[in-house]
Amino acid sequence: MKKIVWLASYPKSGNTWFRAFLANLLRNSDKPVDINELDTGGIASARIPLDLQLGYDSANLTHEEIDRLRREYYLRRASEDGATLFLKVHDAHILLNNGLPLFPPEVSHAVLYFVRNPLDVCVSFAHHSGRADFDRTLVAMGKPNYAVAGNRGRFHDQLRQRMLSWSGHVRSWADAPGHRVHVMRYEDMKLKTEETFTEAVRFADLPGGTERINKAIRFSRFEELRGQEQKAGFRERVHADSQFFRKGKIGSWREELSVEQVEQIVRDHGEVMKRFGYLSENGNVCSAES
Amino acid sequence: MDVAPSSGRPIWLYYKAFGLSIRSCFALPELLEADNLDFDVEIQFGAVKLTLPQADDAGLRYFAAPGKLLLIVDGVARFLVLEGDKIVVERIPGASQSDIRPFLLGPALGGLMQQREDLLFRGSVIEREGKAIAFLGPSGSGKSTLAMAFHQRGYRFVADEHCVVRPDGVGTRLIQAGSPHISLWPDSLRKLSFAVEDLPRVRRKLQKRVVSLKEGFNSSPLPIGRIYLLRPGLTNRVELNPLSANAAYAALENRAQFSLVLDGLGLAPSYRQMMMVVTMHTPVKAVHRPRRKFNLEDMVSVIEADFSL
Repeated sequence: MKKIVWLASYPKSGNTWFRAFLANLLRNSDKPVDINELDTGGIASARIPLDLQLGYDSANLTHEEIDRLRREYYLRRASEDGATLFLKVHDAHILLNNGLPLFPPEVSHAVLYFVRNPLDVCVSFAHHSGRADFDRTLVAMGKPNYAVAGNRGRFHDQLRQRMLSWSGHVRSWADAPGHRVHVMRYEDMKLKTEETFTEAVRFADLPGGTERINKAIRFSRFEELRGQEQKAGFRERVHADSQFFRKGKIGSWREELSVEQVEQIVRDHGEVMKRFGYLSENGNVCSAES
Repeated sequence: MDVAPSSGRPIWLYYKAFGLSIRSCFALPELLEADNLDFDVEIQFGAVKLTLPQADDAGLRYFAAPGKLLLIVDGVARFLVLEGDKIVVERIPGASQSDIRPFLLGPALGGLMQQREDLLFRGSVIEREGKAIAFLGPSGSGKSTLAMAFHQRGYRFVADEHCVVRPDGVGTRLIQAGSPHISLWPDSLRKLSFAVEDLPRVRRKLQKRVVSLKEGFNSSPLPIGRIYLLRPGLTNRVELNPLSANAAYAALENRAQFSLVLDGLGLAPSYRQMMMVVTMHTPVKAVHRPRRKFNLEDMVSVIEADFSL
């Protein structure tokens, strides 16, 4: 049975925005869904759901032992009765040591992959991490073995997520063998909202005609999400003193990154930036509208 | 038959933990040794099958039925827990005893106590003025760290990992003493000024360490004084909120957060009744801790100040 829709992205690329849209689309209520109740299946790297399936805490297992169990966990979740399961994913589409993919294509209905200009990702991810340290963030984005929740010297609420470099992450999902993958650019979600969200709805066989889609778009617009966060907080926020829904702007990098930082990101990721329209053939950073 | 007879005569070792006398063919250096040869629980090696055909409840690596629990830890061991008085362990070749012990003394022993109809929570416990103060919460919520921090302030340590409530002969519900050991991750140990590299690992492949408490361990059961439920907060402050009996009951019933109950063990009615009595007669407070910038000393001080209220 194929029933999982993977909502995959590098962090700060529009995934949570889409989940807010999806929650509103599925609930189809007359008021916006509470951002702290985005019951869209959670994140694939959540520890507690795995622990409940194991019957014991995964805290005493190694990352490698857990990775092998995760694949089996997704297969099992897909075998349960019920409607389509949506899982947010920040891991790259990696292969386990036995050559099998962590995210099994045989139970995958669709992948919606969110990609954003890595220059803006760097700015947003740095603020999200609470330091606004762009140099540190761009180094992390360039590391081929970058992982979050991977420090072996402490407990993590989430399971380790091997993310690879930003380019590695994008390629791993965009070209994931055996999956039906639809790539959505964050910039298109902002600038061609109705068209972009409608394409995703159709690709993943989600419910909803034009009116329902537009209502869900309205209820999940950036101002609504930020307003809710300012009023009642957001439990997915990493730092209590930083906003999750901060600016949501296209092109913040122009004000915040130095020339050297931009050059480094283009050096690291130019090829993938070109593929997704963030860099022209002659090496110039494209404006959002391109 | 779930258990194959083991060959040879076992050499028995005797321990006590959580109010139980344990006879084991498996060395358990974390537990206090016992003098007498009576025992409530036997731990032995034996063959354990890969499945429990009559299971009422099963997950990815567990099978549960009334009186039976099978736990499978890949590459480490299979544990068959029977009728609240026996654990059979089949070691997977290559696994060491230290690989096995965290699962044996954790979920397997926990499952056994559930079979005995003990009330069991995820928690760490300290003693104050003859009563037990329990810190309950999911993995990583800081229970063990908090218990160790209080121990360093002079409070006697009672239990780590399992908070076990069991009525005595006259019906008083007592929290049972575990063993004088706490398992902590290096980042917590550093906050508590331990030299991490000097401490033994919980498992060979894990950085988590075991701290043996040479003194300051309470080995007797204690009446329940207070319960603190540890939860992540959305602010940078430590906040304490008293919970009504109903709210405390609802929180403690949450298997993912506080309870260790496996549905298939079939204990729900007695469990619920005991939990109702505990929540009706015990002050329960939610402790919201900052998600980051977690100042342990501040948190300990806030809770300590609450003890006298």
